[in-house]
Amino acid sequence: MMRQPNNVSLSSEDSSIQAQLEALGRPQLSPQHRQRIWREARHRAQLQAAPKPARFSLFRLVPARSLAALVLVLTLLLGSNVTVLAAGNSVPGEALYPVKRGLETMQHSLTTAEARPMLTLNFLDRRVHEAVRLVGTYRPVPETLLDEIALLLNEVTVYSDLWQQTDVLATLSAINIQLTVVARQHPEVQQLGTLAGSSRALLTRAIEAAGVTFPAEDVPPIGVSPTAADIDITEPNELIPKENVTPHAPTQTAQPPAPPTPTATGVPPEKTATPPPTPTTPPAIGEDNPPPGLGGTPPGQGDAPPPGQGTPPGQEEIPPGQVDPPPSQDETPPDGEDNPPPGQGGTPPGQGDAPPPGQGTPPGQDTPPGQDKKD
Amino acid sequence: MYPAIDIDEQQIIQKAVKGNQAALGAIYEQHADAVYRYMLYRTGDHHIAEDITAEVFADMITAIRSYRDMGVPFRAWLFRIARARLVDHWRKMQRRVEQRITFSEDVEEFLLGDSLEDRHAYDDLLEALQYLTPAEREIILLRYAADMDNDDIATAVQSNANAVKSMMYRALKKLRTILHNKAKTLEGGTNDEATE
Repeated sequence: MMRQPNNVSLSSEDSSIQAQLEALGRPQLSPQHRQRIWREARHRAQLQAAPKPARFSLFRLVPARSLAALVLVLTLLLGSNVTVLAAGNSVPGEALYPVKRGLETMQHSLTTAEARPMLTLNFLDRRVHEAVRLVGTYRPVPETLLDEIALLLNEVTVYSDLWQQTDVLATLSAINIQLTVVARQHPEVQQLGTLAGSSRALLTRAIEAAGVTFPAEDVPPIGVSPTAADIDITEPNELIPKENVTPHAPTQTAQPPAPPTPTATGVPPEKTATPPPTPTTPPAIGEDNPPPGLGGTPPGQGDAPPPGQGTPPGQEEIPPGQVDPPPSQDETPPDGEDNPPPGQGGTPPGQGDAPPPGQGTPPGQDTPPGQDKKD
Repeated sequence: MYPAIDIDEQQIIQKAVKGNQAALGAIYEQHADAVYRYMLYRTGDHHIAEDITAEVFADMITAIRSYRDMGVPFRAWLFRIARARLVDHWRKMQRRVEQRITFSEDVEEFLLGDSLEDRHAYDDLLEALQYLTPAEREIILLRYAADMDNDDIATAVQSNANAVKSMMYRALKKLRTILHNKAKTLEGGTNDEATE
């Protein structure tokens, strides 16, 4: 059965063209070509049907949707982490500062009541550092930031329990120094002195009472503008760890070890009842001030204790087994072992030979327990 | 001249679907020349036409297992594969549009035969084919080189029979015009030479 010619209606001229096209060569493949093509086709078909070596694909291990969700979560987490890190260094006026404050608000709401004082101190540290950074980069310090510092200072003074901790005191000392720097350099932030005056006074007293001192030369004198390098614009103290919080505030642990204070009473000296010691640099160890146990006056015979760690006023050094001289004989002690030779130390001036006027000997401390006075 | 329709074609195809190698060979014998000619007209190169033809039948061997008689003529189904492989070839050659094809001597000899008289008679027709649009040229070649009717062509090019018929009419008319103008130009040149 033959196929009928094309059903396209054509004119006579078109029919001649059609006839030409139909008469166009219809060559057939030679048997060799035909076999070669067929052989090649079967070979390629076998290759196509053969199992291809499995290529490693993550989609084979993890479904596509799960992988997409994983990528999305990772992107969000990493992106948010980067944002949080960048926001941590921001200061007022920057785009990421609201993010930082929002995170702080959230942190405050999630913190327990026990940990809130430390968090408040941490926030105060951050606010002060922000003010210092603004000052160091010659940008205005917003009023709201100053108000916040004043409020936080007030709040910190409430948590006086914190002040017994050395690291907290070191942080407070550093904050105090920085506030001083900011207030001295910029008159517009002088209101810190008025807004938080009482709080800072309490703060200063607490620091000094605890013996946390800082070199006076770290604070530039009034009228001398500190350079940006003078202002510590490093990251806020995070309070953990606090071995070396700031170079401005050497702690008690940084001082040389005090010689054992021989007390006949065994009662530890009371801090609160004593006036603050003079913040002076500990004496350097040298020929004039030999270290304890290396010559000089033997213990109990007039060693001069380091400032701030000697016997507090009212608690005179009395070697064990020896009798406390009566108050009437303080000025002229009897000759003997208790009377150190001149120039060999003894009680530092103003620290025990005679109580300050109006203070007298504190009750209960003139006579050690179990050792009666000799009349 | 049209190839006879094998009344047992459907049975052969059913055997081929089941993996019968003889049936596959029979199908190849029946369609190899048409596919090869079509490729040769479209590429103008023996080696390329041979390579693509082998690729088409390799695909046929692989895909015929899933072939179902849905009323689509087998040749139309086969030429869908052929057109896809041709597009792949052009993509490999980074040619988006088929350019004008110049047939080499051996291709013309293969297409038009050894007779020098035939070659002169059909040279103009082959040249005129190059002036058609790619779509027009394709349906002309499918019709006259691959021996397909309008319905099969419409199925192969995923169009409808009426559109194919209209395009076929326009293509033939354009061919006639081209050949007429060329003959007129040649006559003018001959008259000028005679006048001189």
